[in-house]
Amino acid sequence: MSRLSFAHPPGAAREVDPGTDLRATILREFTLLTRNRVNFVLSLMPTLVYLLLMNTSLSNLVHNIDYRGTRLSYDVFLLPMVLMSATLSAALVSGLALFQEELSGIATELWSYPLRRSRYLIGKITVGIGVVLLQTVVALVVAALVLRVDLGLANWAALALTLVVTAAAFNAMYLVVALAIRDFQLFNIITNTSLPVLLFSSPSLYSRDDMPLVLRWLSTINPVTYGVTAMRDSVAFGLGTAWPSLLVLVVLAPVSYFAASTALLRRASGM
Amino acid sequence: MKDAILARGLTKQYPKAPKPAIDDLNVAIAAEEVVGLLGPNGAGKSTLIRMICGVSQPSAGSVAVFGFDPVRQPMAAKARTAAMHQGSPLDMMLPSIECLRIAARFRGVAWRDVWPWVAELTEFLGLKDALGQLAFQLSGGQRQRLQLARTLLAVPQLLILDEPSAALDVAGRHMIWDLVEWLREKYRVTVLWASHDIDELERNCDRVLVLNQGRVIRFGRPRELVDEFGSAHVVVTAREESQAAQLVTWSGSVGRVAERDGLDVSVRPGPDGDAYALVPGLTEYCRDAGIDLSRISVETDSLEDVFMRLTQNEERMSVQA
Repeated sequence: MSRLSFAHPPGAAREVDPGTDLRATILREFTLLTRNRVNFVLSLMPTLVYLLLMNTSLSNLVHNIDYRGTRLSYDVFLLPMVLMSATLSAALVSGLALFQEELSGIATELWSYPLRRSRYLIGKITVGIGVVLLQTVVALVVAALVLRVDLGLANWAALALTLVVTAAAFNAMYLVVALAIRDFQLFNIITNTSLPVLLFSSPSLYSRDDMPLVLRWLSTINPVTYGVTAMRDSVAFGLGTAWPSLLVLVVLAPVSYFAASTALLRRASGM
Repeated sequence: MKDAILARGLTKQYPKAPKPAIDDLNVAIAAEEVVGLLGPNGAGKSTLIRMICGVSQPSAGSVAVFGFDPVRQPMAAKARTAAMHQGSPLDMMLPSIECLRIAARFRGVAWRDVWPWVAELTEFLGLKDALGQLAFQLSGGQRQRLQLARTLLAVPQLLILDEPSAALDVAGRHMIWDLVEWLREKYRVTVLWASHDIDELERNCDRVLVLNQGRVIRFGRPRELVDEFGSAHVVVTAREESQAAQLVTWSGSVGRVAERDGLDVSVRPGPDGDAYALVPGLTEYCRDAGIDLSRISVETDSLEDVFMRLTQNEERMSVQA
């Protein structure tokens, strides 16, 4: 006969409502981000450093630049590059988190919960987008206060939409890479090397016409090109001009998501 | 009544591994049973647990939890299962209380509803003052207790414990034993309990599943296993090591198997032999040879002895094959 007795005994476990797993994943990701102050500060630092140091210095050097037949302030021209680098950093952190979950055994715990793999990915990507949007708000406030960036509401709205799509596409892409590669060191090398290569082989600091021929070819297959261009066109002209680049990302986001789902299933079969 | 766990031809072959981690396993565990899972390192215990939890997919065969396939019907199967995995997997940078809150959300339990139970359970586990601490700041034993609390936020139909008492002190081990007993009596929970602590399993389990190299060696009640594979033997304790060695030599000369451990010598009768019948001859030899004994007794094998013999036999057979 058991000696134990509790005043508030637990209830019986039951099947969870649809959506519980997605909400729980978002709660976990959000808690990890906000409770771990190191992660929180690190997620904002690159944006601020790029904006306050790089953007201001380069804008003093190059005041204006011709872009699609318009004279554009270099502050405005560089803003998409800053946001893109923040997007890539956030996506890289999402990918790294997958490895950390496996190495720490948390993955085993998570997959023991009533958690669908699709909802796990959507939850991760949603919080990834949230991080990028938060970085964007910070960037926009800083840009408005420090830099010569003065845009209309329609341009900001177009930029926000572009950022959501871009963040979804790149988060999913980095998750695909993290799930396809099993070796943590190899993942670290590939992602850390690819980040600057992707950024600087796209028209991030310069217009496409100013790039060397080989880089121009490379930029065509570089997905970052479409992110930077869509953001820049949103900022400079609005959605009417940004939509072709945005369309590429709109296609890329679900394709990457389904590739990530497949990779996650394949990974599970080897667990 | 439905089986709590039903495995048919269950096999797990990891990529590039020379042998399957679980090899054609067939087993049925009845609801409300407490079953111990015993095996040496690498026997396949954790792999089996991961497949039952739906974390890992079988390479062949199937497993069902209360009739639900953890891979094809994960939501139904996992809602009935709660597992305390090996190695305290926790979000180390989160406060303990957040680890519990997140787990409650995954289980679909409202925090405000479960909080009174969490408060009571964490107090019982000696964790109440540690709830605000980050998981990485906790000691190994505290992490283990936190993980147990996380596993018991709601009462599962199937509770899986993978090395639950690793890193725990005696008091902690007893807490787990008491909680399992309580869950069993009050909620009729089925328990699958993997452990290297044979005494723990012998004490708490109805049946023990002995695994080695991914295969079931035996599945039965601890007492049955001891009766079937254990035997009685005479244990004598000499006063000097040279006398203990002399006893081993004599035992061999009269066709008995003897093992020496320091001053202790264990002499086994042959197959179907009677350990008690050995005693007169042994004492007579000791008297004649001038060997002074400090102890002589007839002892029965423990489950641990049986386990060692079973796994060693299996390894010997696999080397010969």
